[in-house]
Amino acid sequence: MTDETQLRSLLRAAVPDDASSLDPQVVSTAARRARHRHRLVGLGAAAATIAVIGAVAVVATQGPDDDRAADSTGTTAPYDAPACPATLPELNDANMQVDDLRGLTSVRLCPDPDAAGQPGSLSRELVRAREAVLGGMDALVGDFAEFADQLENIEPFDPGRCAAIDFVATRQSLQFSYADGSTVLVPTAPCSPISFDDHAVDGGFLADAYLAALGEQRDRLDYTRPYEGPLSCDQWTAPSPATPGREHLTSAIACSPDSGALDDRQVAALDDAWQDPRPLPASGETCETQDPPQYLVVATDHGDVTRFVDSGCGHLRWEGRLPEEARAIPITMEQLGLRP
Amino acid sequence: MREAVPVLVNERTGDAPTFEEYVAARSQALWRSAWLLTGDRHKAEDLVQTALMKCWRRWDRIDGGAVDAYVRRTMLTTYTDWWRRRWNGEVPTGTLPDRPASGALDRGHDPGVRRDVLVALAGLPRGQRAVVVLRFFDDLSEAQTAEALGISAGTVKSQTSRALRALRTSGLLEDTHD
Repeated sequence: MTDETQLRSLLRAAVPDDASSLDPQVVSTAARRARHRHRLVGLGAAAATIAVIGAVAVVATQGPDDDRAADSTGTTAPYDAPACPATLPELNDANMQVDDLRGLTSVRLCPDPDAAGQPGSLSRELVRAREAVLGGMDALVGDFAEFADQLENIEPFDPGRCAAIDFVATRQSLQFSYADGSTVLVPTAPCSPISFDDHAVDGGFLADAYLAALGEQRDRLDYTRPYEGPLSCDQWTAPSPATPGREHLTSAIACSPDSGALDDRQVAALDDAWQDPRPLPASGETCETQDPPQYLVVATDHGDVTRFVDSGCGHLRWEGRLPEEARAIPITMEQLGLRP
Repeated sequence: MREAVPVLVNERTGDAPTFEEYVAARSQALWRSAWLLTGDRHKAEDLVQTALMKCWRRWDRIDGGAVDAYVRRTMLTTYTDWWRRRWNGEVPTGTLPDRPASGALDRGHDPGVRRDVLVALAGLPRGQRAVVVLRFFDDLSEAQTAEALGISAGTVKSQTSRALRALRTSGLLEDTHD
């Protein structure tokens, strides 16, 4: 008997015969209730939100079945949410508590603007690029159900785990804005205990939860605002939910050894490849890479800026924020006409 | 015992199944896969219900011919997400029963088989465990497994190879490679 045959037999023998069966009505009712609880109670005040932002489709008055429908109403609200403060607090001085989520109108990630260097140390172009990135970031608005789901799924803060690891202190924060004009800022640094109502979560997971919810919002709401700043090979990039196949690429520059903007035809070809991401090949593949490696800095129709690296394996490599997000973008520098 | 895969197209209309039809037809099969992933009845229920609730929101947008793949992928993404955030961590291996004696497992319907399988699966990294469940319980091809997990077919192959080696070492599989 082969390993595979043995394993199939063992797995079948091990699984309980009395498998649990879910009641479809119970599941769909639970889904409806969760969605409405998050909208109307947990993070409520959807009506106030709509009054403030004006352009987001009304969600609080929809019937349950409407919850499934994609919102095709174009809106600028994600970009119009209150901006981040010019200076973020040091971690030691930061507020660590969000008392109330009722009346929320937007949630926005505020990257540490000095992470790319003090303005005095940057060229004028890099300062302009950094300001364009920061000014072009979208925020969560209107419907916070996904974010509430994500918050609920964060494990409780574990001080024991943090005692055993080192982390990089960062001033990156999440800004909660309310209908009365007030804002609350909390850090998203790893091992910062952030209190929500009756539970504390690790700030490091907070940014992940926010970006996951922002990605879901991009799926659900119809909005775009292409990045309009300069692109530079030394460009600072902000955390974003950009993912292959969702956003469209609107501009790009090639870097190393020569740099130069891609023309419309090249950007269109690059975007076609971005819409067709592939899993990365198995590790261990031998590829011919350039030294120094060539890469592209690219911008999206949602204001993101990200990078593709020439893998030398017949595709470009996009790293994503997390290792499991990395993807092969099926196009080469040669196909883009960037290398003879 | 696994049931035959139910028809996932509405026989009356020829359309993709409604959410309720799908849950009624497939929740037990999903639960069995979830049980092998989590090793716990209640966590398996939580996993299936969480995945189905996520799918419910998008049901009208899911390609009717790909509903099963979509739900399975959502369940695996949720499983991975739980692991990544260490929120719904599994029972630590230190509290599990002893490892089985090498090459000496009793087969058939021995109640110890269930325990031995769970102990051996708990010793696998999450990715390998998912590959084992998809390939050898759900009977997916390498390509289908790669699609469900968002990894390459080459990675599925290497993960499968490592998992089988680990399961032989654990004593779950009798070594047939002498």
